[in-house]
Amino acid sequence: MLSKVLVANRGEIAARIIRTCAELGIATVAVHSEPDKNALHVRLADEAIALAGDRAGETYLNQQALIEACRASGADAIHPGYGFLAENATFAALVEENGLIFIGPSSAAIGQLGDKVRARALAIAAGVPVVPGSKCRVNTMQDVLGFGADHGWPVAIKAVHGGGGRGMRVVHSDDDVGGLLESAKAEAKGAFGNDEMYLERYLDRARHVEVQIFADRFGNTVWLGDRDCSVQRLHQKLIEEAPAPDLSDELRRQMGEASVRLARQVSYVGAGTVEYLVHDGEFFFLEVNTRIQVEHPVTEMVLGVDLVREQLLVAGGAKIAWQSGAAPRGHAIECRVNAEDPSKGFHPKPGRIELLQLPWRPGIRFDFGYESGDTVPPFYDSLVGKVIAWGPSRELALTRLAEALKAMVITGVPTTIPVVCQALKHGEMRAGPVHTRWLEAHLDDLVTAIPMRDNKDDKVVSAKPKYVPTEVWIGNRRYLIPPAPPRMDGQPAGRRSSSAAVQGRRAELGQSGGKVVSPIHGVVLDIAVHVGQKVSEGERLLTVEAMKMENIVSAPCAGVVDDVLVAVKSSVAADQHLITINPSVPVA
Amino acid sequence: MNSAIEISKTARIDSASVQERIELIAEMRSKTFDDARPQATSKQHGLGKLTARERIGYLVDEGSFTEFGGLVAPGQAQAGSQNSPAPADGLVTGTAWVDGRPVVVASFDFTVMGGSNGVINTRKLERCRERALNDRSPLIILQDGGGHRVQEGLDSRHFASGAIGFQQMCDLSGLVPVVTAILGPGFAAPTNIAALCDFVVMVRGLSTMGIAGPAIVEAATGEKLTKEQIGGADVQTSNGLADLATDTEHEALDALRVYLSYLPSHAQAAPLHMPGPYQVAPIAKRVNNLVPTDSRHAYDVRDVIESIADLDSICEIKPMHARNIVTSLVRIGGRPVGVVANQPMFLGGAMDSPACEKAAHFIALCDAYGIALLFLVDVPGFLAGAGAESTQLGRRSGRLLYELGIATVPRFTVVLRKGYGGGYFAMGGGRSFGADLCVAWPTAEICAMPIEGAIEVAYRRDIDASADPSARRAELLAAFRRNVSPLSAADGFGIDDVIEPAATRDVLLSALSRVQLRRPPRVPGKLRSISPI
Repeated sequence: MLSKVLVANRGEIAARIIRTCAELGIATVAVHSEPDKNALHVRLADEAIALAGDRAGETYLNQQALIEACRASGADAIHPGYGFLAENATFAALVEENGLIFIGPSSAAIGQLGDKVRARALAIAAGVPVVPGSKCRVNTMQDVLGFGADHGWPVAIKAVHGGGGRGMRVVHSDDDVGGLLESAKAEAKGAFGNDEMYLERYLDRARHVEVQIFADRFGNTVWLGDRDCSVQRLHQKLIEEAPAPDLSDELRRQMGEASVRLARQVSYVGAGTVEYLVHDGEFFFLEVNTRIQVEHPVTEMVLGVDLVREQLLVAGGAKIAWQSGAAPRGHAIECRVNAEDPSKGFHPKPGRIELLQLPWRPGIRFDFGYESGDTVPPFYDSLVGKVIAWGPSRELALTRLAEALKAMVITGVPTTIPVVCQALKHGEMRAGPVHTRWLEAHLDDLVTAIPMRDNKDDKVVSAKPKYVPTEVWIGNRRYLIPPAPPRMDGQPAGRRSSSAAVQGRRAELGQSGGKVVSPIHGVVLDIAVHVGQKVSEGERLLTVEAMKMENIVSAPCAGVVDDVLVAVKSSVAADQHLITINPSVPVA
Repeated sequence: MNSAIEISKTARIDSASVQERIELIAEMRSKTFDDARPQATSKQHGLGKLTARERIGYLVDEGSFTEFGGLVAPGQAQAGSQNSPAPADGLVTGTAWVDGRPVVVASFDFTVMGGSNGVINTRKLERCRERALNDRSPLIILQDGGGHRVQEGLDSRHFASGAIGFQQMCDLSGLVPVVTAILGPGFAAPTNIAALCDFVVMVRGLSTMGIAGPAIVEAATGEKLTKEQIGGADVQTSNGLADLATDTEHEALDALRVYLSYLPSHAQAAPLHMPGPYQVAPIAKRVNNLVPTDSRHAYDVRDVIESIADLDSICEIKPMHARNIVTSLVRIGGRPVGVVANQPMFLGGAMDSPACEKAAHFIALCDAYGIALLFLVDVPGFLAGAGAESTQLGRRSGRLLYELGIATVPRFTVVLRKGYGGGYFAMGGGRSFGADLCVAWPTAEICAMPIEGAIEVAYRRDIDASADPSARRAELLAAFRRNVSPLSAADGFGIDDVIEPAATRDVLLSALSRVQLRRPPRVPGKLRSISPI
């Protein structure tokens, strides 16, 4: 049994782990960055240790500092949560070397499964079906073209050490290849410190189904049901459910057993998730996540298991008491609540949560990392919390989630709740499982359908097409025309389709003339241009990373770069002037 | 009546059933549409222009246009002349909605005898003005060509009556917004009409305006000039004849919408309120440092406006004319406000005749439509010199004082820096015109005239008589300098307060929220005041 656990994470998962430790009588140590010094996980833990700095690299990713924090606090184990160092084999090895317990699989297992190409080879060896794909790494565009010709388009370029869709590009045809490999490599390098890439066949309209696995140190390896996480935006999951709807029992069993076989290949210990694409009744191995998943609560809700508790017990030397293929009870759906603005391209919007009211009610669970008055800092991911609904049927679970979201109050930061509400209402979503491109295909419609709120009393005033200002551009200036009152004859007031000029200008929003400003508060990841360089309209100028999302800033007009006012790695504020382009200089 | 069309129309109606008559009327109507006139339409497109109907289609809310007078035929041609077929008599007229509010719209059709003013389309335009008057709806006139229709006009019998159009324009002035876009040749008649409109837009490379075009100019003065040189969009917006020049027709039509969006539909109505939340431009973060303390250093007062107004709410009126003063319609907290600001980037912000006229006209506009006024003051005074005198600056500046004096809308004054002499009064400084709020920034220097100059004028003998004139001059300068500061302005209660620039927006929001929308007339019973001009 563990006596003291250091939680090397923040936000909702840190709070979740700390609370479960308390249930087991395990003492907890929180670590925190400077901006997180008053965060919820710090308030909940028995002890807290400050890590100097604000960015993840200096704090939650600082391996040495975490080991030292363990020593200083006398913790005997580290729970890495998800993200940060959860799937870092080097860190797991460092923990092991220091005689501490890493709550998760061995560093060797992480190393083998974390390398996508090796994981794929292991899957093949274990008889797990894989997506047709290259067994070797890819270096040149020629490799991509050859692969597309052999296995058909579209083709996914993926980072060997990647995850969560970062460093991934989908190439739809051989016309489409230009620059994508390079940009995927650059992104992978920035995000994972390694730009090795591999290829695989990209399955269109497939579902994302994953299997929860669990293993103890005594060779007991089980699978604990499945989850469907097909509602994704840019490969980031937004809504997850368990069990995955509309799968035959046979397919479920096959996937479960395949997952267990794969886990046994590496003597897996602890909680893990094997991700698959399901396409026309077939399943294809994607990757293994060697950690607790964000969406683990949906499995817990339908099986009655506490996965974090099991993690802690197994790490402490206990055997697992669960059998493979436990039958789910009812249905559970989770949605993520991210501090992002759906009306502005899902830009992360860090800030102070003025008010957070969670409408507790039967069948609803909230896993949140913040309370009213807490601040979502700009340095980490934008996940504020998760709302999980359970119901005896999928339909009731959906309804409960929708009703809970409606009753939820969160002010101060915009969230993804409105778009989730619209998605939950959608006929196709209600009818059954959707595919992984569904959300992106319907996103514009869902966002447009979001009712506008009056910010004063938060009352819904009207639907979007009626009561929002109309945008007009004249020259380089943007103007807004106020909405008009309703017409007596019942005809819609102010109905007009926006002009082509407006459509074009929208893309340049926030950038007037040759002055290029940062769309967001973040860190400059790279700068693609230098002073004196000619750029064409729409050309990428630099990338600003904010809350794990990269925001490409492109040229609002053709011209010559007059001035670059920021450097790589510098912090920039929203609307900060980054680059000046002189549009008067003709570009040949 | 003229032409065979009329005869056949009548003949076919006579023998038709009701259903056939309905169809025949629809057919007659459709003949006036662009599709039924491919030659005329492609000719107009060939000139790089939209047709009269396409312009209305772009301007108004989808499906909201109700035409009247679409079935008219032209007036009788005088002896010896013959009228061509004239769909809608070259003027498409009707009611419509623009951004959700009713308007009356008239669009001249250049493909019908050059957009000329015939007997019937003149009556149609009169009908438009009558509708605008009685419906209390803004009137939008889209002009393209014009002038008397020669085929009908060389005839005393009809021309001796004159026309009530200009009388109607005066009736509408200040009652409903009257705006025009000049979308083609606009010398003579269109210019006369535009002069009585509140807001005039032109398109670069497409529009001309002026009293007379190249042919008449050459005949009168011998000058060989192109129509662009005499009256192109950039020329006439710089002259102040038109308010705004745009690059495209679409932008010109959008500009009319933008302008109207700040104004109520008529003088007694409230303007539309922009719903929140409200943002300000990023430059607002620098507002405390926008105005240099050294009064020799220029800055762009439009940055100050940007830092006070709601984001994307600024519509500058006459941006290319009299650039030493900026007049902009803006919104603060969603409410329209008219800003008059001295612009130190041009003439050091000194006020000459064009600046006074521009500001005076703008104040009249805001006063007519109940728009509160905000004065941003950094004025070294009225422009001195024989050149300035030759423009009647005394009277022109008087017109500005006059407009302020008769205005009944709330007004706020913020002294950014210089508030010198009569210019300070003309910008609503201190208690001059009962400002509802008069505040100064820490950079303010308010005084009867610049100290250096004043000393030379008033203390010349004192300085000359002293043993060390330059020491005496410096001594006097230092003594008076101590008197000129925002604190001493506050000390004498000439202003309400000295505020931090960053607080200006909030102070104005608060003031806007408390003031009455109109003041009662100062001198009840008076029939009218008399403008110095």
